[in-house]
Amino acid sequence: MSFFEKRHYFKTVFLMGLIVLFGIIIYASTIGVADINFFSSLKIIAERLPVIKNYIPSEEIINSHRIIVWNIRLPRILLAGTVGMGLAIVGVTFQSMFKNPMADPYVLGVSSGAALGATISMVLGLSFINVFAFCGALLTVWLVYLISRVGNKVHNITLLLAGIAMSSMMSSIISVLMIFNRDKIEMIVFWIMGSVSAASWKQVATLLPVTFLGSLLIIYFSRELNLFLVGDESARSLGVETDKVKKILLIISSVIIAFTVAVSGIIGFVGLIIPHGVRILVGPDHRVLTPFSALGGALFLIICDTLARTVIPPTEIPVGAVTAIFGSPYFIYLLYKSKKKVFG
Amino acid sequence: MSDHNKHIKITDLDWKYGESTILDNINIEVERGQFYSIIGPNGSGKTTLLKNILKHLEPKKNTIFIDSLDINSLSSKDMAKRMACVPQNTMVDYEFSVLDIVMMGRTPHLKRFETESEKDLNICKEAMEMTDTWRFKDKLIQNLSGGERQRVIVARAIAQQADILLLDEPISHLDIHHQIELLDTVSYLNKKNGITVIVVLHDLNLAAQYSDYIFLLSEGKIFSSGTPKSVINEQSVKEVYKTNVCIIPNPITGNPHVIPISSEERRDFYEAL
Repeated sequence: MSFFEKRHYFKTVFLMGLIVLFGIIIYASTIGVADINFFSSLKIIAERLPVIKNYIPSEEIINSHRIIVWNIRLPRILLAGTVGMGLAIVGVTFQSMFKNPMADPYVLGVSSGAALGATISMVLGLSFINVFAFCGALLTVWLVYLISRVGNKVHNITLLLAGIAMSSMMSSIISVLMIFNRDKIEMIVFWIMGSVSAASWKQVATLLPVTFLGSLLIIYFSRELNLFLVGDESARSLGVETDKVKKILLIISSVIIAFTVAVSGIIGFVGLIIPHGVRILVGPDHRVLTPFSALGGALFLIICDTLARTVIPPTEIPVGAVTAIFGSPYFIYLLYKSKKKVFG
Repeated sequence: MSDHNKHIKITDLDWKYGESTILDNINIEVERGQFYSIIGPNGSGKTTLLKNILKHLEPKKNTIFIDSLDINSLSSKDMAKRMACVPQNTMVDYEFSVLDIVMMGRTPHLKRFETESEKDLNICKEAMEMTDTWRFKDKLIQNLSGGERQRVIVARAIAQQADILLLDEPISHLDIHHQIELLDTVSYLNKKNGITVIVVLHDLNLAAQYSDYIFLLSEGKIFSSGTPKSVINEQSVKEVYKTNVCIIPNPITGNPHVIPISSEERRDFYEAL
């Protein structure tokens, strides 16, 4: 079936997905050490929303629950969702731009750049870890871009190789820094492992607009992303200014990922596997694939982070470990199923 | 304006990859509604010439004109509305359906957020029926044979509704049935819709049979150009391809028909080994 015949069906499914996302957000805010039921959680959130709050009777809610849901759980859930969304949508973009199924959001060295920035700030004992990570991430992409640029053109393979080389270099610098600062090793390792446990409304307020706007812009280029998959030259003869579009997408993606890494550290798996999983489910057309990946990434990371904080309380499992443990089997199942469909 | 009928005009086009000259002072005029072939040995610059016309490479200003407009002044979208292309390599590794691929041909005609309408579907359907690909519209492009995939890409180019169609060695992977079928389709578009066709071919006989005019390239230069009869003769083929041939008139069309003759020198050389 082609996209043309299926598009109405996709709209309905996407709306249902949004409702599920909303439900999961509320449900996740009820889980934890403090037992709060679904409706009081819904009420706590609703009474903060403009207009709706006038219709909410607020007497019967315990004040501590309000703090737990609104100040602790909800920012963390929203941050996890935003991080997942950003990682997945940039993963989709890079996989199409580089025509490479192995591309993930960190492929251009963003992650190690951010990690190096964070490490430096920790070693020096400075307090702006996020700012350092952000600068490290963007600087690295900028360097990688400069290395692989020839005239006005950027070659995909050179870009990927420069990204990998840069990553290795930065990782070794981090190792050296850790050896000379043994007292900070634990802190650095925890940052690198990736987590959204330190979430606050302030972080949500910075990351959410950036990711949301960036995602909209990427969705705006969905048709171009489709055409990249049939080859750069074909794309050009079908009317795409390939070099220009690539540059724009590179900038948007790098900004999203730099902001994401700065608040969450390095969370693997989401940006690589979610796009593939969603592609198996809805097909390769980016007009469907990009929004669904964003939705899928958000759902997936919210679920994983909720598991990370609630499975063995009060210990937290690093969310990066959870994403891989729970995501891999499902992905392998999808892979196996789709292989049977093609060859069986 | 006597230039009105000149659909494509190339003046003093040079192209270099690094230090080596690939195209050297190419001057070509292409008339509207005619069928052109570019022939020449491997490495003579046929594909590079095509890529320059398509702006896949960046030709200098004021060297290539389409409808009397410098292609450097045209956006990719404007180019795509005027010119469609069937590239040499048509592999697609992703699971698009055949109809999805043909629909991509409508891209230059759609606004940013516009989705394809029934009208676009009908244009694609017509293009696909013309190339006999409508019957597998729901198949995945990666599961098609090379010949089927080639025809799908031709359908995409037709759906693009440009009035110039460029094809880069479109038949080199096809069997004789599909070769003739594809050239017949292109020839039909040329005759019926007045589309200007430029096709890079290796097969001199098919080039002679289908083309109104032929450009013979040799080492980056236009060796000769004109009607098949004036371009393809024993001397020119011997000089450009370093091959002895015997040329007889095609009994059906009267155009030249090339019969290669096995090289005696080479036979002697091998026997001496």
